[in-house]
Amino acid sequence: MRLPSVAAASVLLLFASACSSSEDTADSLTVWVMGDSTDERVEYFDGIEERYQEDYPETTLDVEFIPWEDAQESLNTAMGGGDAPDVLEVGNDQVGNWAAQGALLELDEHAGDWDALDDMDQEAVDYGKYEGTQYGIPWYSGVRVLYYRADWFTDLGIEPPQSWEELVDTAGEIESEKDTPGFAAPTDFTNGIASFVWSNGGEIATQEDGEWQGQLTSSETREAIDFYSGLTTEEEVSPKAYVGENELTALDDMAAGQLGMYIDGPWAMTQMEEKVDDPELLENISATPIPGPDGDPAPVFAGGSALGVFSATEHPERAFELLTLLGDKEGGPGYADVAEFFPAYPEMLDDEKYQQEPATAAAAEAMKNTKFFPATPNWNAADQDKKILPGAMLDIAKGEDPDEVLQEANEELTSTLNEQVE
Amino acid sequence: MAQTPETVRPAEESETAETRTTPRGGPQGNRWNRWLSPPYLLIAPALVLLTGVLFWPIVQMVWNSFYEYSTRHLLPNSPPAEWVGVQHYTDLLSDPQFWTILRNTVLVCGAMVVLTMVLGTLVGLLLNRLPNWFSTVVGIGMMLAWATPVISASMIYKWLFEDRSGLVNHMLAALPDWLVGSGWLEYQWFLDPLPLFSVLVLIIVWQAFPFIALSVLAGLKSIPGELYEAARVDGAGAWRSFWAVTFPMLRPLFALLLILQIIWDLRVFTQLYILAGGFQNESVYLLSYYIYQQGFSASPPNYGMGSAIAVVMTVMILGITAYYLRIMIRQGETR
Repeated sequence: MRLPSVAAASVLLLFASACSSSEDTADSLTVWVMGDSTDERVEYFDGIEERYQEDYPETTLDVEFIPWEDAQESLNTAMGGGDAPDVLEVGNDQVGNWAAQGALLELDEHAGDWDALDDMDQEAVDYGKYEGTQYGIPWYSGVRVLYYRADWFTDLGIEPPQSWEELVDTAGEIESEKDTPGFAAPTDFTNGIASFVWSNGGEIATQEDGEWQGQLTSSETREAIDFYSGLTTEEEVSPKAYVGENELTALDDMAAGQLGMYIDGPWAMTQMEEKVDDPELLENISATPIPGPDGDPAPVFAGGSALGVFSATEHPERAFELLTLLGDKEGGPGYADVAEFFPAYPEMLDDEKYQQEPATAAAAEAMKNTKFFPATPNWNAADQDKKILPGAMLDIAKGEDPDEVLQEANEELTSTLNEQVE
Repeated sequence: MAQTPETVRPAEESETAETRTTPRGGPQGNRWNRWLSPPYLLIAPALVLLTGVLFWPIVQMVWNSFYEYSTRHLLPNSPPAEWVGVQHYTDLLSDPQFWTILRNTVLVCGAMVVLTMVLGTLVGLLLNRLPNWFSTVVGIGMMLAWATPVISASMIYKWLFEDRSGLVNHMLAALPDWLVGSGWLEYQWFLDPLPLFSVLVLIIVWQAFPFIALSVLAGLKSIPGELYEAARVDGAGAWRSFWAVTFPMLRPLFALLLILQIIWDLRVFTQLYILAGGFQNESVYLLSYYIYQQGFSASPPNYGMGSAIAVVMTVMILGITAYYLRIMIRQGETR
C-alpha cells in the first residue's frame, strides 16, 4: 500500500512542476524555527535573507518562532489550512512522526545532488529518514552535560563526580555544607534519564525483525531507573520538588543559586543568562560529562534538530533552496553558534572555539559518544504524548511499587512502538 | 437545540405556543402561511445563525467521531478519513482509564456544585440581612473574585500552593505539628488527584459562588416579608423558615442555577490546565481535559476519539438539562 503522505507529496510535485510559473514569483517564504526569539537568531536570519536575495531579490523571509511545546498544535493549524511554513525546523526525534502525519515533503530527489549532505554525521542523516525516505536534513545537534557549581566544589575540596557513587556523595556534601539541594533529578526528563540507562548497559527499547520490544524491565535498565528515582526517594539528594517536573525547573533553581548540580544541554547557559539576578554566578557554573556507574562518561542522546520542507508549500523548489542555505557549511554552523549547539558536520567538532568554555568542551567530548531513541514515529507518541517513561518515573518517585509500574509501562511502550503507522 | 423552521416538524411544546400565536380564524390549514407569520419571520434570522454556529458543529462532531481522523487527512489532496463506525466508542467504553476519568469528573463536578450552591446561598442570605452599606462592601469584594480572569486566578492559587515557596505550605508548617502534622514544606499539591482536585475545587468555588449569592439575593428581595412573619408566628426558626418559605419560593431559581453550575463545572478546563501544567499526569485528567489531549495535544492528534469523548460529554450534559427542564415544565414553574 502506498503511503498517503507519499501520494500527497508526489501529487504536490506534479502540481508544482505543472505550475512552475508560480515558482518564479514567491514574494515571501515562511520559516518556522523552534524555541524563543533572540537578537542573535533574528540577526542570523537577516543574514540568510541577504544570501537568499542574491538569487531572488524579490523574495522576503518571514521567520516565526514556535515554542517547542506548541509544535504539534501549530502543525495542526498549518495542516488545516491555517498559517503554514515553507521550511521548518523539526526535532530530530520527531521527523518520523511528522512525516507519518504527512507534514513533510520527500527530499530524496532534491537532496540527491547536494554535496553538503555527504559531510554530515551519517547517523544523524539516517535519523532524518522515515521508512527509507529522507524527510529531514540535520541542522544542528547537542548533548546534555552535568552542570555544577565549580566554586562550591573548590570550597569543599571535592572533584566533579565521575561515577554514580560520587554523584550521590558530592550531592550529599553540598546539601550538608551549603544548605542547598545537591542535585536535581526531574522525572519528566527522558533525555537525561536515558543516559543513566544506557551507561548501565540498558536500553529503552530494542528492535528485532521489525518488532519493537520495550526494555524497561531488563535488569540493567531497572537498576538505572532505581538509581535515578532513588536520588529522590532513598538518597534524598534531589528534592521532591522535581518530581513531575522537567529540567527547566532545575534550570531556574540553578540560575537562582539554589542548586548544586543538574543535567542540561549547552543551550542552558544562554537561558540562565536571561534568568540570573547575579551574572557573576554564571562564571561559577562549569560542566562535565554525565557520569556513568563506574567512572566512564555516560552515552548521551544526540538531541538536535533537522530541517524539513512543509508538504503543502506552494514553492517546493524554492523552499529547498532556502533549506540548503540554512543547512550548508555556512548556515548550519552559523545557527549552531547562535543557538549554543554543535554543527551537524563532525569535522568541525574539534574546533578551538568549543574548547574555550567548560560547558561546550564537555559537550564536544560527549558528542563523540551518542545514541538515538527508537527510530519510529511512534517514539513521539510514547514519549511526548503518553509520557511513558516520565510517567513511570513519576509513579516510582511517588512511592509506588517499581515492579508493577515498570511492568505496566513496558507493556504500554512495546504496544505503542509497534502500533501500525498508516 | 436549534432547528431550521423550514424542515423540522415543530416539537410538542412549540405546537402549543404556535397555536396560541396564530390569529384565531386565520388560515389554520395552510402550513406555509403559519410559518410565514410575523413571529416566525422575526426569529428566523436568529435560528439560521444558531444552526450555523451551534448545531452544525455538533453534527460535525458526531460525524467525526465515526472516523479515524488525524492531521494527515487535513491536507488538500490527502486521502479521505476512514470510516470506523462505533470503534471509538467501543474502545472508549472498554477503557478503564476512561471510567476512572468519568468517575473523577462526576465526583469533582459534584463537589464543586454542592459547595458553590451551599456557600452561595448562605452568602446570599447573609447579604439580605446586612445593612445596605455593608452588603455593598461584601458585594464588591465578591464581584472582584468573580471578575478575576480565570487564568490569573489559577496562577495565583498555583503560587499559593507551591511546595517550597507557597504561602499555604509555609502557614501549615508554622502551625503546631500536633494540629496539622509536619513536613509541609515538602508537600506536593499538584501530583496526586486528591490534593490537586481539592485546590481545583477551591478555585472554582471561589470564583463561582458570588454569582449564586447575587442571584439568590435578587430572588430573596422578591419574597414578600409577610410570609416570614407568618412563619415566625407559627414558631418556625431560621432553618425551618428557609425550607418552608424561601426554598419553595425560589425553587425555579435554584433549579436554574443548579443546571448552569453543573454545565459550567463539567466543562472546567483552563484551571486544570494551569494546575496540572501539561498532560503528563494522566491520573488528574477530567473529561474536558481528556478531549483536548486526544484532539489537539496528542501526537498525532486523534480527532475521532476526541470527538467521541466530546459526544459522550454532550449527551451527559443534555441529559441532565433535559431531565431538569422536564421536571420544571411538569411543575408548571417555568414562568
